[in-house]
Amino acid sequence: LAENVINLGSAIISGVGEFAPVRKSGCSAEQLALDAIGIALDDSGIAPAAIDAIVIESSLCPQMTPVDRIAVAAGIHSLRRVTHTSPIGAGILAAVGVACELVATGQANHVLTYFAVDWGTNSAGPTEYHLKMSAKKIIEEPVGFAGPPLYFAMIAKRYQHIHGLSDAQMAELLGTVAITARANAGLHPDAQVTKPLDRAAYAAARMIAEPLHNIDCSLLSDGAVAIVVSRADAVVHQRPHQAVLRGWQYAVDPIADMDFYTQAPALPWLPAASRAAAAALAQADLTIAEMDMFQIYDCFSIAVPMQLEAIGRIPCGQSHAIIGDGVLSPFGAIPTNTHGGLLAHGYLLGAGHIVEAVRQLRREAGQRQVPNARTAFVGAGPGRQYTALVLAGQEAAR
Amino acid sequence: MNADLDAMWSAGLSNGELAFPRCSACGAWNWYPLPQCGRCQSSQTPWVRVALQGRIFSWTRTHHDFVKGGVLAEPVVIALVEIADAPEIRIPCRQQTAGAPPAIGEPVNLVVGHFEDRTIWCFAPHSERADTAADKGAP
Repeated sequence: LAENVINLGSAIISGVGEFAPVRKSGCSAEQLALDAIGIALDDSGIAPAAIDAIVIESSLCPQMTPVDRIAVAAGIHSLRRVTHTSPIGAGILAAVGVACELVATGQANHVLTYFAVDWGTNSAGPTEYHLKMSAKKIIEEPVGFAGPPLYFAMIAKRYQHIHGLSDAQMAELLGTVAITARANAGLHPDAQVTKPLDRAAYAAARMIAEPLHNIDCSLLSDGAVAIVVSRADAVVHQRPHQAVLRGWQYAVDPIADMDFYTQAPALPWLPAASRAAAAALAQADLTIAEMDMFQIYDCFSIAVPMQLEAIGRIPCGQSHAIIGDGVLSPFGAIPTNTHGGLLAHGYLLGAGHIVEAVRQLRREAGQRQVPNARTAFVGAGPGRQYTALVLAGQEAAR
Repeated sequence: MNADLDAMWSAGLSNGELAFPRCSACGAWNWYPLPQCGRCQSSQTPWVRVALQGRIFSWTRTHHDFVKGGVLAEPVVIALVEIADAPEIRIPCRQQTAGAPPAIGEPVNLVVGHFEDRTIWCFAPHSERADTAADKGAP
């Protein structure tokens, strides 16, 4: 197996750009993407014509921000490779993995990946995305079982039952995740929602689907991210600390997309997340205990303990005992979603999580800087599919 | 396939019968339906009727109307119910009569309910009498 593992060390994440998430931008998804691409190219120090490959997510991007229009508008006219990965969060992260492999195997010098979303303006977006799947429309919607909050409410109740948590203990766990996400966002200059949250405010928040309050649910956002991966000897802006991908893995369970949230045999477990994390860490030759931070897809507060358990950072069922106040802060024992995540920074479907890891590893995270950040786990799914990225900071050669 | 699923599901609700595709070759239930059996690749997956009994896999009480948007006048309990005859299959069901939430693992009966313009599968407290009625195919 070792012979088949690509050495990713020659690929540097040389540029990141973001159209910071807002509820309504007044811009199209294409405009948001182009804005982020311009910032990422400036951050990398390269001209659009230097980009010779584009890798993007496969479901939303081709419709909202297709390569043919974006590349032409951005002045990218030297493409030798264009690749689409897999749907939504796991696909957005996988695009970074594939981009690094294209560079590491000599197929490209500078690879661009981008993702833009307008689900702040078009707030029905997430539910519409799911109801396009025939069985969900025919079987689930008529019963009122429509959309991600209900999927994760059902999973949360199952999790609570299996681990024997009382309603109060469940509210304490989920509240800690939501409150910390908001506090972390408060340390980020461009987060969407930064108003501090306390236990009383959490308890008083509107219940959506038990046990999830509205503030246990992802925000809805307009925003975009672009990332440039470059060959190490072609990097223009040398930095004291560069971010590199040390290992990554995409994993998928043998179950159709429309089936997962009702039919997955192992709910509330996430077998794909466990497999992806183990393989990415093995490629990186690192352990989960050596990860200095976790940027993981927090579509709902319950998704944070589910993933920290699935990837092996917290023993199964121990989240309630371990995730105390401040544990998930940049200065806590398990720094998690240090930008505020989907719950408070903005709903960029995992793209913002990658940018946050890069900024942390570059030591550019300002007042939310994780001390001595050297490694970062970035993960998204979380469902039938999952992508795990293991990033590391690399000090510039002197 | 989508039209087939829609037609089969509607017919089942009209008749008060619950059926799912099952592979004739290996016996695996195929749900949601695929073009062929995912376990043995046989294309023979006829719909097979099951008893109207199940078990609560999980549940939530929703306060938000996710179909039409906005706050519900009264919260609604929705459960994922495992089918007794095919435990690997789960279907979402609404609580037939508003009341206390069910317990996970609790056996329930499956009944057809009518809410506004919708005819849907609901769950009701388990009772032997209802089981008998279901076995005879009574509405």
